[in-house]
Amino acid sequence: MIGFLAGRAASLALVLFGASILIFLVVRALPGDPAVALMTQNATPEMIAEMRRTLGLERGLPTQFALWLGGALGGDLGRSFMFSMDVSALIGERFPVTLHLALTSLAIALAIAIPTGVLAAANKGKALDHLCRVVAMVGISMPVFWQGLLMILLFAVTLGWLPPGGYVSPASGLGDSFAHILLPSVALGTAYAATVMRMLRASMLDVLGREHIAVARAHGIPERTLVWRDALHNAAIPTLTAVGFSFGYLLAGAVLTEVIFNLPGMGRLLYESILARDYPLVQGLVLLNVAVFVAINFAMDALYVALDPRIRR
Amino acid sequence: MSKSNLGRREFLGAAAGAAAAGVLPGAATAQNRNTVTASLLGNLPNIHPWHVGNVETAAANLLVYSNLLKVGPDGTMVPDVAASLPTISADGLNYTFELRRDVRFHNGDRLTSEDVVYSYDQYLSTARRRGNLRRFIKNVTKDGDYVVKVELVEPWVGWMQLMGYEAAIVRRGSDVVNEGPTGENLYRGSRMAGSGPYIPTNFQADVSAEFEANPDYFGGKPATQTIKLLRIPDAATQLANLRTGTVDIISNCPPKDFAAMARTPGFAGASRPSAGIFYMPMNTAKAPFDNVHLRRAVSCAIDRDYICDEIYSGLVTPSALPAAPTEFWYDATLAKQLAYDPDRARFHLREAGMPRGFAFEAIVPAPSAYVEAREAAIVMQANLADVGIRMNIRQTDFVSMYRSAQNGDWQAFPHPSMQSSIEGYLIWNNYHKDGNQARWMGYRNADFEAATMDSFRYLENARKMPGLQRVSKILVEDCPALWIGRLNAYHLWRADISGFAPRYSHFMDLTQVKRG
Repeated sequence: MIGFLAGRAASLALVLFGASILIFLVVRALPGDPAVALMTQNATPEMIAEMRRTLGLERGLPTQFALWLGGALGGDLGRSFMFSMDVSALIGERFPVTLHLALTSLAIALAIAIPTGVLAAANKGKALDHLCRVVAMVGISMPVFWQGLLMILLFAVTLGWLPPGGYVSPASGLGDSFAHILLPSVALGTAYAATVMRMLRASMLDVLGREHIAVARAHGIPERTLVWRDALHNAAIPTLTAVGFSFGYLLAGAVLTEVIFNLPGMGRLLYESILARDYPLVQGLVLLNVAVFVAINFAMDALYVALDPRIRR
Repeated sequence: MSKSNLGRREFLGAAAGAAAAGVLPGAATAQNRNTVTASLLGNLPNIHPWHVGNVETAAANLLVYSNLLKVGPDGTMVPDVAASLPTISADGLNYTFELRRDVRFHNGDRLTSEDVVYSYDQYLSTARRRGNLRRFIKNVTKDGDYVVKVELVEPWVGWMQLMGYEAAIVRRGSDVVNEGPTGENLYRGSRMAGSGPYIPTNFQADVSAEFEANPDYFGGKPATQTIKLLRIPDAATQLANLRTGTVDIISNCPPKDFAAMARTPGFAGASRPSAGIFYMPMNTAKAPFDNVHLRRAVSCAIDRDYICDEIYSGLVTPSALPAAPTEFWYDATLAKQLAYDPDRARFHLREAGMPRGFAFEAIVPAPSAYVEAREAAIVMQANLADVGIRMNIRQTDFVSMYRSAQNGDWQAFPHPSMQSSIEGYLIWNNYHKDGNQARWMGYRNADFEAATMDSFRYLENARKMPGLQRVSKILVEDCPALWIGRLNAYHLWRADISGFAPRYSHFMDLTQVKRG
């Protein structure tokens, strides 16, 4: 098992290196000039040239890449053009917000998706199944920003139950923090719940149609045990993939959710950094996103091995 | 089994109830009488004395720093740390400022002429956006502890407008180059560089800033103890926060919502013409807009009233000239030559030898602080099609747009532009050959440049007027841009807030704001 995981880790490290080259090149292929972004329309060509020198953009691309990669390997992702701050410090400020949002959204998504997915599969073709599928379709179809605005209008503006946005760290008060994170998490979580629910339903139907379930049923094992213990356990592996990648997307930053609910997370930062052509910040954020996906991929590989002994062979 | 399940449900129900009990009372936060919170739509990347890149940084800058003069609510210059307006020599080259003697920096140091000289030396050698001032200022010297002399390269009062919002006075020795990871080198402890009415106490770039009243402010201790600036990058969310009382003042909202909200009980709002402009510069250096008749044809084809009333809900004041109809140098007779008149547009097309029209590409910025720029462009497209002109819209962001401009790779840019003054930006920067924007517009006219410099030798409107009349006449003849209207500055706030109003220069002035 250790050999298998070591092999996976090596290949993922290569993916990370390849991605770093791609990120560096793609960021520089964006139309527009960071020096112009910082100085806007009032800059003379001389001022722009001077700013490019200050930002280190006059160096050749290989030199810029080597400097960036060397720094990144040592944990130094450079200095943001726009904020005049270390990229690592900025990410350190914003990542906890996104992590908080991702975890609560995922918890809400799973709390909705697991019971509805299982119930829909167990009641295939019945009213409950149709209802779950329709709700899932609505969840997938409704844009998160629209759902978010409606929720703000209802729960914050009309009813006054919850704040319309902003972020409060759990360290500053659990109740206040929960109140602030609840609406964005529900908006985001319900969208992912729909995806996970559909995946779980399909997997469950596949498992429930297998022979060993029929045999177990013939042996008189209660339907509830069959569904919630045996079938759900077997259907978990493909669903886990969807959950893992959903979590990856959530950690990458939900740009619209963060903008609508005014959460100072990674998604909003990435959006701002792209608009400003803040190369070090875009590179740092995208590299972190890639690293998150790579890490999740690795964790899921490890989980597969734990859940399915056949993979170890 | 069933007993166990019941217990779990009970537990979950109790937990949900407890969570709701903990959450719901927290939602209705009582307003602190000593705190006023304003939201910003745009980014607040720093609280630097000179890196004033947008209206948000200008609003923060105004709280923390002082200048020799500052731009007043109506756009005129008013004394700040200077005791009065400067004495200007007859040739317009030498300005003498007498300083107030009661100004102290936030760390307690007294502000003297040495600080002013240090600030200008540093500004002119290190600030990112010093181009205009460096072109005009020859040197800044002190004459005693409280007198400063500024010598210009050529006479131009517009330098004071620029100085008034982007060249603040800092304590000598301030580390204005290495402000530190979050700017703390400029406002923490003994390093505090400002002398304005508020002292920054908390700052998270792009998220929020907090300021405490400066008890020793030379203008008197501010009425509100704490000012908070909160970045809310979505206009609809800004409105929701205003309605729930999370913020007291919002910097911007969709024009269509403004009038309704301003009339809603519990809220207030106001708008006023500003120095900002909604216009479409045309690349006069290349076809098709190297032909003045085609530029005039475009101008006469546009129904400004419709765009300003229907798209901008009256928050852009229509004008076919750079001047707003409410301004002293507006000339209604001249405006008629470029105003909406499809027959006149067809006449200019015939004069240009293109009676069946022509096509051009318009680069429209997105996203924009004025989100309606795209809708306005679509109306323009329809107006132009009526006379046979085809306007192809290409939407891009501001950075790409200015990159195209710098490369000369453009034909027309319909866009709203926040400007700070007539002298500094609206005329000189946009159309004078040395103005930064004029460089990429390609517009050159020696008579215009002479008239501009003649006008802006003087502070007084009456003395500016003859030159400005020539400026207007030449701009109408050459028509280097399509002027659609002047942007209004507008804000919404909760009705219990006073001491606040929109300003000619667009950015929020929170220095006098208070609750009640």
